[in-house]
Amino acid sequence: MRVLIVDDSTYIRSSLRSLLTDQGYDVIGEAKNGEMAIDLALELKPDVITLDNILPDMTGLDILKALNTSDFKTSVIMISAVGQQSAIVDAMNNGAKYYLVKPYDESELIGILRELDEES
Amino acid sequence: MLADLNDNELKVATKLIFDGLSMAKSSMEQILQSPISIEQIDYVNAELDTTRFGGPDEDVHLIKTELMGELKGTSHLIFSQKEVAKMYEACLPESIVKDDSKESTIMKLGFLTEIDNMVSAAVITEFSNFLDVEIYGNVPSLKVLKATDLNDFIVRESSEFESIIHFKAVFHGKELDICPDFIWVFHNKFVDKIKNLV
Repeated sequence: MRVLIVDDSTYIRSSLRSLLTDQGYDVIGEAKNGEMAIDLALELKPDVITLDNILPDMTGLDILKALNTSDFKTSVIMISAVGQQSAIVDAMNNGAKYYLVKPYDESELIGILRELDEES
Repeated sequence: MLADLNDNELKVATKLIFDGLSMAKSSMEQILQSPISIEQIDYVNAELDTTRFGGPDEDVHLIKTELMGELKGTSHLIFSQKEVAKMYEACLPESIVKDDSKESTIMKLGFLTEIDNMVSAAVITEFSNFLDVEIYGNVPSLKVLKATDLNDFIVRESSEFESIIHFKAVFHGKELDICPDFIWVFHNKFVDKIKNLV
């Protein structure tokens, strides 16, 4: 499964890349801001995007809205410290398939990826 | 100021602050994989006891998150140099801890800001859900300053707001031997929100 990681933190991108690569997933790109995220998502057409909610230039919700078209089939897993109900509901209503609130258990993310793998 | 609240409103405010800090404590435990307790909460005085840093010229790591949205404010999570080293040892791979390259330094500092990101977000989430306000934390920023300059820095930050609410917690991680300070400065609108709620 091909994954695009979107997070402004080098530490988080690197940690996620290690985790996903160790589990056999193919990390095809990393984006540190919203503009890069949208460009890479449209260009690479990943199977999954892990998407942070607060980025320097836009929110995860802005990115979801930009990508939320009928021909965009990528599953989006929001991974964010923003945990309020309204943010979660907004994300899910705008195309996020899952929402993990940081700090989360790595096994939760792997479980979600396996679920998506089985669906595809 | 919290003093503007009546007894009932004050009970609600202090419970909300306590609940938010408890969520922050749990987040910190999960990130550091080590038990953390709240050693002290001060609802009035934000001045820090800088003697714990070991001397006026010791470096202090302050990670700031600015609150965005309906309520204005900032949070500051503060570690001593020794505490930072202990957390790196406990949580990061040895290859990064012992390496002084630019890449490893970025990873170490990223780890610190990520702790703040999650800990401050835990408080923000609690406040947002309880007060029904749209607030979120901006991307955290790290500042290294001398212990002797810390209180002046917080005072300068606070002066951005006309009237302010302070609260401060001291966390304690017994296993890691760390006692980070966690200070919040809110605009007085926080009080209005509590008054409207009660």
